[in-house]
Amino acid sequence: MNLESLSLEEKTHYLHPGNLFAHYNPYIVTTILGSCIAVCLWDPINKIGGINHYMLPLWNGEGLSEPKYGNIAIKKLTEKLVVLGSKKRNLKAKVFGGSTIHENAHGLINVGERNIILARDLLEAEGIPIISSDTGGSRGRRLLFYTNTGVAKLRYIKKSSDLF
Amino acid sequence: MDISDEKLIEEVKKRLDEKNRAINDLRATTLNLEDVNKKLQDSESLKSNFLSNIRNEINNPLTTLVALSGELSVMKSFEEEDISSFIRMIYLEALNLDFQIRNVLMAADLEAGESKLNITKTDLNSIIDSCLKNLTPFMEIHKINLIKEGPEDIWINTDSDRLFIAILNLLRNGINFNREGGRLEISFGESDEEFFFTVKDEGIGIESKDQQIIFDRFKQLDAGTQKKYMGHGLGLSVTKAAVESIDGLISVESQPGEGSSFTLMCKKQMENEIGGISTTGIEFFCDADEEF
Repeated sequence: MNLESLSLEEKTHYLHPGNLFAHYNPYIVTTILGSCIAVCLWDPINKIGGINHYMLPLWNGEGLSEPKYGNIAIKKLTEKLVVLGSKKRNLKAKVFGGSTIHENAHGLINVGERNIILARDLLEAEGIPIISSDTGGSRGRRLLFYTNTGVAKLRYIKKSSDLF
Repeated sequence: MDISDEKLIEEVKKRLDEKNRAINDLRATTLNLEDVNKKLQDSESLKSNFLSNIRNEINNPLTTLVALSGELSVMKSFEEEDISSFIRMIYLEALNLDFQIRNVLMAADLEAGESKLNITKTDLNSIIDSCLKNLTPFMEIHKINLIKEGPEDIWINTDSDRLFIAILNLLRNGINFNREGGRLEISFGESDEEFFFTVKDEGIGIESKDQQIIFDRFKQLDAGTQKKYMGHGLGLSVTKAAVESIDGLISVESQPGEGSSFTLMCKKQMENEIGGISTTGIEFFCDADEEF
């Protein structure tokens, strides 16, 4: 299906950076990723899903514990799906984003890579398998996630100034 | 310069090894950090949860409200002066309660990360004025000398609730931590892409080593039993998170004894969603939309 051919009757949600979204009704969630990561969790038994969009890997214990940090965002999304009736053991994950928007001349590991590593490590620790992913690289991504089918569609974006 | 294939392969291998080592090192560091983080979270939840931290701030005004309104309800004869002083006290405590609850709800909202930004066209001046209206009684009590400088109209597209709570907290701190009769200077303005809002007080000031701590939640420099100032330390962490959620930054300049100055700088035109990413026409497609 083409991005532009979405039926007007389908419910859509635009996910801002640092937020998360999960619903028992079918939604098409759109988000734009640069070095950020979106973890999509899907429950194939109940056919419900949710998605987060985090900007940094870890909350340092200061300020509010917002889901703009990976460890908070993954935990909160998992909890949200459990509240909606999913069993944690049934959840499957898809991981997208984490590109290197600003090349580091010294080759140090950048925030995008740190975000990817955090997603992989944390999902493994939670026992949630990653069934597909598209991470890294130097281009941004526009992601569509269908909460009821778990399907994720993406296009690459070259322009990076609007990315998160 | 000629490089043989072997040398090239060797160099590539060497660099790959270095990268893998760096990734492994980082992974180990990340795991350590996760441990530290878990401990932090655990200790925090053991120490005190959200509600117990704010209990006093909600309970105190509520208790006063109940007591004052109770007095009023059983009064047999009414002296006009008494009545007006009772009503004034009730109003102040109601405003206190309203402020605390606004902060708690905003903190809960930001931590949940599920509410959509409500971006509307709004005038910065009117947001500042409605904050000031809310705080007038407190300025009267502290005999604050208010100075406000800025252009008449600055139209912005933003989440006005989040901007309101940020400005309200900064002004409230500027009043609470000011000296009696002190000046409270508000200035604001705009550039092409951004607007700024600064509030400067003549209060106790903050040492440079403490200037980052003040944004941590439940941290207040004036803590303990001899606490002189009210508040639970949630205000500035809510302010910082609210400002960051609307594409803004907050900064502080302060010297002990010479007052503090807080500035927030935010994007003027936020969008409800970034639809047309391909504004330059440069967009790469992956077989239209590739399915994962």
